[in-house]
Amino acid sequence: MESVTRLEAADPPLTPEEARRLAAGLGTNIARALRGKEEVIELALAALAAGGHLLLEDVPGVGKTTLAQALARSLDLGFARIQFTSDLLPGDITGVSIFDQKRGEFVFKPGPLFANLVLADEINRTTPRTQSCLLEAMSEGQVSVDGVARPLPGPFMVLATQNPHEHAGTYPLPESQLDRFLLRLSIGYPAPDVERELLLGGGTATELHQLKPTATAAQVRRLQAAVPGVKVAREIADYVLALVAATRATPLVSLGASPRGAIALLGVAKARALLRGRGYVEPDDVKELCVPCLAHRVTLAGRGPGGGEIERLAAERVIRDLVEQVPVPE
Amino acid sequence: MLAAFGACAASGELGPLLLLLFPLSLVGAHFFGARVAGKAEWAWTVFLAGALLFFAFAVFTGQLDIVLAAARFSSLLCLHRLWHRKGERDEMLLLLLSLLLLCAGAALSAELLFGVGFLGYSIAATWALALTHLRFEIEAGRGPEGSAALLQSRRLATPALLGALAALSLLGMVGSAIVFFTFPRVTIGGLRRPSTGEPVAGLGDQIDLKRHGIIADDPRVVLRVRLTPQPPTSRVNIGLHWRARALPKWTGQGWRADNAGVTPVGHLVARPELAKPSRAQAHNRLQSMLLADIEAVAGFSDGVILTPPGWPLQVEFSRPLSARGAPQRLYHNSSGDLFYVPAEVGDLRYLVTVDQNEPPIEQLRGRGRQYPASVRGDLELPQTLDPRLKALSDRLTRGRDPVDAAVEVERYLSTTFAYTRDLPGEQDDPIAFFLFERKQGHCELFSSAMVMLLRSAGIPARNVTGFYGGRRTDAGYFAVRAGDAHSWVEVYLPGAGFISFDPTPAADRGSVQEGLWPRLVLFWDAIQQRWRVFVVDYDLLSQTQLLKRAAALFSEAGRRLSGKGGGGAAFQAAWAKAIGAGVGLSLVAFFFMRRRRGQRRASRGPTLGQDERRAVKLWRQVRGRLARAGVAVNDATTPREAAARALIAGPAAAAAVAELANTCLAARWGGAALPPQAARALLRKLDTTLRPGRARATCAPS
Repeated sequence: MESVTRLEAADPPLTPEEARRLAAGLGTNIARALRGKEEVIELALAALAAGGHLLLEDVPGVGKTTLAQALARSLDLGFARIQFTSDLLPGDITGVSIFDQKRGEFVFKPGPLFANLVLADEINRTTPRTQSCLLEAMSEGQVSVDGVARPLPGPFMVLATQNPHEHAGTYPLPESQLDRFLLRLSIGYPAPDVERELLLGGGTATELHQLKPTATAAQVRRLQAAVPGVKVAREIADYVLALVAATRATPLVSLGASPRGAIALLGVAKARALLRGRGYVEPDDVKELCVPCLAHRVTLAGRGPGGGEIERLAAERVIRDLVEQVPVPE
Repeated sequence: MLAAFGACAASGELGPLLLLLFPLSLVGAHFFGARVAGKAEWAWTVFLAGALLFFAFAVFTGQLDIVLAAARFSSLLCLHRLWHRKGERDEMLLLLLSLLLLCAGAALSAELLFGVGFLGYSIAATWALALTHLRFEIEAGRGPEGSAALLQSRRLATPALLGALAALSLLGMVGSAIVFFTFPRVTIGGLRRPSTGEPVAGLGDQIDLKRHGIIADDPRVVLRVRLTPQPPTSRVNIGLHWRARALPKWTGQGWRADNAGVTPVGHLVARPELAKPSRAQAHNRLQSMLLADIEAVAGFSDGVILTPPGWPLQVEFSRPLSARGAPQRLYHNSSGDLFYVPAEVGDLRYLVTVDQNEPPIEQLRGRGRQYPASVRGDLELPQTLDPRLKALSDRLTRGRDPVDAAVEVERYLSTTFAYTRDLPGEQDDPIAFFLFERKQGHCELFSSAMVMLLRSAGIPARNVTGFYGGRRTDAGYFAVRAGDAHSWVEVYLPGAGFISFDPTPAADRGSVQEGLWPRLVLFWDAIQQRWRVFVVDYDLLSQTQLLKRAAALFSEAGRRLSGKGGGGAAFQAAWAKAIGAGVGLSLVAFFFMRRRRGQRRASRGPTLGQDERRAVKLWRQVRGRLARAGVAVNDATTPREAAARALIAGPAAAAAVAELANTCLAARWGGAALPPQAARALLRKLDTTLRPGRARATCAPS
């Protein structure tokens, strides 16, 4: 593992132009399986570049799993899917130690979490106990089993999905867990002409299986290494702070965005700037990412965290209104 | 609101009830206003209607002045509105009412306190107007809670904003002041109402010697005097006797005036000639005329004209103060005291000319003891006179000519007795107690003793009251204060009339008022005086004088600078020093401000490079053009959003804005170069794309 770390450190970061080309190739590739959703694909790639995790919240059948699978196939990365159910236990996803009779000792059998891309399908169907075992994996890139910390392979990204319309038998994610998702996206229904093509073409299953990887794990690591080098002017950082402060000052929000939220917003803005071939962040990068990056991190006054579709729309509306009141740096 | 009320209350005529109610309501409405607002409206309506009827009745029956009634009623309206504030309309109404209150204040009193209130009002009203407007604009956008949060976060009402608003209102006031002082103007003095302050010091028509206690200093100014010729500037206190009234009648306890025979007088008689003056003496007499321009503070002198030492020759009233427009008349009584009818309006100003040329003592000797009947009263003695007094009188006056006797008695009293302001306990015969027991007393005892000693010797003499003093002030006049009240003696000499003698030791006459409080009172009086001269009574004549004086100053300075006038070199040196000091100070201020700005910039962050600055400027220009073209852009709009919105002005315009946005963003945030010509070319391109759109927009309706 040590040699791998050294190798990773030796990977030179991509230049902005290389990053743009890589992102364009990935985007085109994924768009073959998920048509008409270029914006969502770009944000998913931005989350990947920023080393964050995605929460896909939408109704069933709009392509959440397709996006995750297409991303995994395009990247030539290890992919695992965990279907979260109410009887799922932490050991089922992290792995367990089993007694090897031949060797006469306990051997760790890694769970599905030990993959580069993990699709946590319907994450709100499992118990808080199982949900919380994802916390360590998502924030620290490791899991502790039987008192031993085991690092997860890099790059590591969790794509969680949840259905906002189902309430019975679900466990809404707590604020601490929500805060660990870099972005919350909703894919939305496809445009009518895209949907017509889907109908006539018989779905996207074929395209998905035919997808060939366009980027290696090493390239992803180089992409991720390039993000910290993106230039951020002090005024842009102040703009991020003003936006976050606005979520804390407004009486419409009872719990504003955390400092982690501010760091995430700037990080994903840097990643998106890089994917667009720029070595610097513009105010647009920050402003456009406010809703997907901050809406799930705030608790509206008089409402609990998470919640359903109404809460999500209301939070997004509040953030959108706030953003329109904060002056953009000149 | 408070400032407007203060300006109104400065007149002191609103009455104690309103004076108490108003501040209480202001505080009460702040804390409990929300609970009361909108309740018991009918009670208020009845109350206000009743008040209106009451005031109307009082005005109709002549019990109340209409201006005062209006001021009181508008105060009540303000009170009502203070308790019932709900929306923007109420706040604006309250501001309007406060303006009404201020106008009422101006009509009630134009004194300096009103000026201070006015200044406060102009600043506070600007704040109130701006912040109220701001508050309701915010409330319209964010709701009451949002606006409260924003206003209380102190991000809005910052000292910088308040300071800027105050500076703005002061700038407005300076502008008005310039217009006030330079444009031809007419005074509205005719509309002034009488100021009915408390009398400062009653110049009573009697003295009671049996009072006891301690005479307290009273620093309030009663006379403001300007003298021609002016006394030497080295003299801070000119120490003149200001004669008010003669008190010839002995009452058994003190003295009282002879109030009989007050008649109008046309011309004052000249001083009788004791000997034919030589040509030189006649010339000297012209030189010895003293012209005193006296301003008697309202409510003080009770119709008595005060005269400086010497023989009064002429009294002129410089301000026609009778409200009916009739000129003031001069009256006198049998004692020669001068009077006027107390005016209805403000302070009285008159000019007194006196002949200071006292006849020499040689000419006063040997005038005999043939006294006319008119001075018989000045020889009256009490029924019971202390035999020791008679003996003392004999000792001092026997064998002496009356004038020598008077001089001797004056010398004896001023050198033998000590001055004290401590009045003894009640005595049956205060004069005898002063002369033979206590041997110290105040001016009234000195003068009374002299009168009694002279009358015992058969020489007519009388007690005179007035003031002794005249303190120089910064405003260029001499102030006579209530504490300067004094008493002295006049002795009748046949043919020469009454001659003044003052037996009080010279060092103890008048009062010594040099503490902090008397100085503050004088300072306040000087400011008030300037306010009155430059604001209240500032008319076309004053304006002409001021401009003439300024012109004279300039021409004099020019003359001296060109070395034509006397002392040119010294003046030039002083001028050079002043310019040098000015330049030095400006340089220090400039460097200080530059340093401060640098520090501020450093605290804000790194300074922008040339291309970055150009990008910011270019984008501002683009934003201005877009706004004019009807594209919705504001502070929270990013360049790329603006480019998307510019589609409303046509695709060509949108493309031009997008190109501009890319260029600006790359230069501003990415460190790309932005040459000026490129910026100009892009802007021209935008202009050409925006113009057809504008033309289309204007042509479309036709």
